[in-house]
Amino acid sequence: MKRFGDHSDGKFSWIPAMVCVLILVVAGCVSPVVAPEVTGDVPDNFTYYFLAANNADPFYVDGIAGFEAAAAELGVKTEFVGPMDLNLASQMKTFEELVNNPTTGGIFWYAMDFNAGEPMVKEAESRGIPVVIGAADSPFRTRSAFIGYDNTVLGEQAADVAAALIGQKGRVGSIGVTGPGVVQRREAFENRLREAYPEIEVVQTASHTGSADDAAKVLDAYMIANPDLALLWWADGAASQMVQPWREQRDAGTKTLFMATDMPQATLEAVRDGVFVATVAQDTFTESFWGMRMLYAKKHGIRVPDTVFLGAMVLYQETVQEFIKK
Amino acid sequence: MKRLLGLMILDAIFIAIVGTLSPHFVSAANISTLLSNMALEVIALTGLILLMICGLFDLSVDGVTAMSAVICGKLLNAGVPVPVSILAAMLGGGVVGYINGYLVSRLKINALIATLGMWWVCLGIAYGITKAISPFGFPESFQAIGQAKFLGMRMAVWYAAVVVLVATLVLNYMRFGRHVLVIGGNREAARLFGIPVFRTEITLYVLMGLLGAFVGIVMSARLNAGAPNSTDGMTMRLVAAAVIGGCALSGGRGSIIGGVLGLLLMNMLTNAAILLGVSPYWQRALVGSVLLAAVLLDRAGGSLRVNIPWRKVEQER
Repeated sequence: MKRFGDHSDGKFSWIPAMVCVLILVVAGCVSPVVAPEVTGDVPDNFTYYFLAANNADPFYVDGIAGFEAAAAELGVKTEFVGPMDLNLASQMKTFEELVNNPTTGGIFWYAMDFNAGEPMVKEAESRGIPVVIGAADSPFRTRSAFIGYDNTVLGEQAADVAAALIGQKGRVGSIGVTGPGVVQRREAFENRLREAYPEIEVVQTASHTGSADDAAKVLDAYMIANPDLALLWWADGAASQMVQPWREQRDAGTKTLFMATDMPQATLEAVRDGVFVATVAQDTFTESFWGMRMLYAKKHGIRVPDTVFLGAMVLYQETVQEFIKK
Repeated sequence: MKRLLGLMILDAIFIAIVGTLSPHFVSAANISTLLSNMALEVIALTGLILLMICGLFDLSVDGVTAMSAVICGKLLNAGVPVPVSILAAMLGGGVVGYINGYLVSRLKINALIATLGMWWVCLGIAYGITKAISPFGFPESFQAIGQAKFLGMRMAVWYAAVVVLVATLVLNYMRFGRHVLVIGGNREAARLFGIPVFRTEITLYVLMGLLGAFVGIVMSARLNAGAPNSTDGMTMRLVAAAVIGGCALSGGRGSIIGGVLGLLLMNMLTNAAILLGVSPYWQRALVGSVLLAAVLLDRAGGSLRVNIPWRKVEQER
């Protein structure tokens, strides 16, 4: 696939370069300050960083791909950094190192704690390093921009989908990790169900530690405690590791519907195969693709929107196929 | 023995109380689930208790399980036959165990540091190979290793029963087991008695590596996915269970059955917390409290040492 800034093939490859030089010369004569377009034709030797909260989490795979795809179009270097587990101190240490690194072009930050990161954001901005926040927005407004999801909206969206799937009545439960973003979306999910769907009973949620082993244990215990659930929402990406345990629940006779979150391949295939009824997916490719372009634009003095909210996709058996990698 | 009895009583009281509060807790389905879900931990715990009785330690256990799960999963996805994939993963675990043993027993590197380093290495390999994307979709013959049931229980329960039985017999009735106890009681004295300290210790580490790898393989088969985060945090739970079960961190005493009872208590705590709707934020505090209570009880009750069979060892010489 041909990308912006890729002029290496073809015998007339000198033409675009010549045109660019001419444009720059003319522009230089006309006006001393011209905002460059975000095409990758602006020389840029900086490295743009995706600073994750837990880079061992498969959730980031699509996000990394989006970040790299944008960087490839722009012709800049990227790196994916962050702790291997949810370790705030480690993430802050990396953040500080990036801010102190003169080759840092910008930081796309998945925050674990906005209060802890705020001094780093201010320091980065003072050094001309833009910080674009992904996933969930900061209560502070010092960051360059935000693009991502409103977990409350995502939770409410999931609640509406869940309600529709079970005919707006029955018992509904949810399981997820104890991270603040997931808790926020689960609370929104429950509140929405309670407020908008009086015939739906929301049961006590359960949490897992993040390991597949623990998640499977929690699932088993939860289904024993709540055998008559109409629908279970697994509110984080670990749903991809619950395909087989859920098959076993189905084999044991459960009629509960399993609604997943996010779109690892195992989850998508489970939706295709009818093991999961649907998945509420954050399109992290799109999020970090535009996050990277926002960083580049800010670095080169181009205005970007302050806040961009993306909506979650809901994939059903009928619509999931095109997202499954061949 | 007093410790085991105390743990049994504690477990029984817990079952009675929670069973009253939640009828689901004592249902056949929940008991089966509880045992099935803790079985793999029991297998790894057995290896760890043997090490701890010998005065050793291994923090790399969940790293080994992750690495072996990933190696096995990747090979299966590449079309490698099931037995070869399993052997390769087991070999990986065995090699890690040997390296751990060599570092600790031959090069005299502190066991905590050496095995912590290997934990990072193993996790690095697991994540490096997968880039955090778990291999999944394994042949049915492989899945059966973790999913098949016998008498209503997953096979893991039976694997665990065999491992515990064999290890208990070895520890209590065989020369190797006595060597383990003696080395744990006093390493220098054991060496002077002519006990093959290095060979015993490295055997234990290799066994730990093999058991860890086995856990990773069975976990992959159970989940039909070789997740690099399959058993995150398991090692600390195992250490806690071993201590609750009466294992001394300094070595020389401990019991496999005690450790299993300790692990049962920990698993029942988290299981009950879900059934009773206890906030997940408080579950770890509960487990931590039980661990502290067990240690304090142990201290209050005085030493409950296993009799180290010096005389038998002397006779064997």
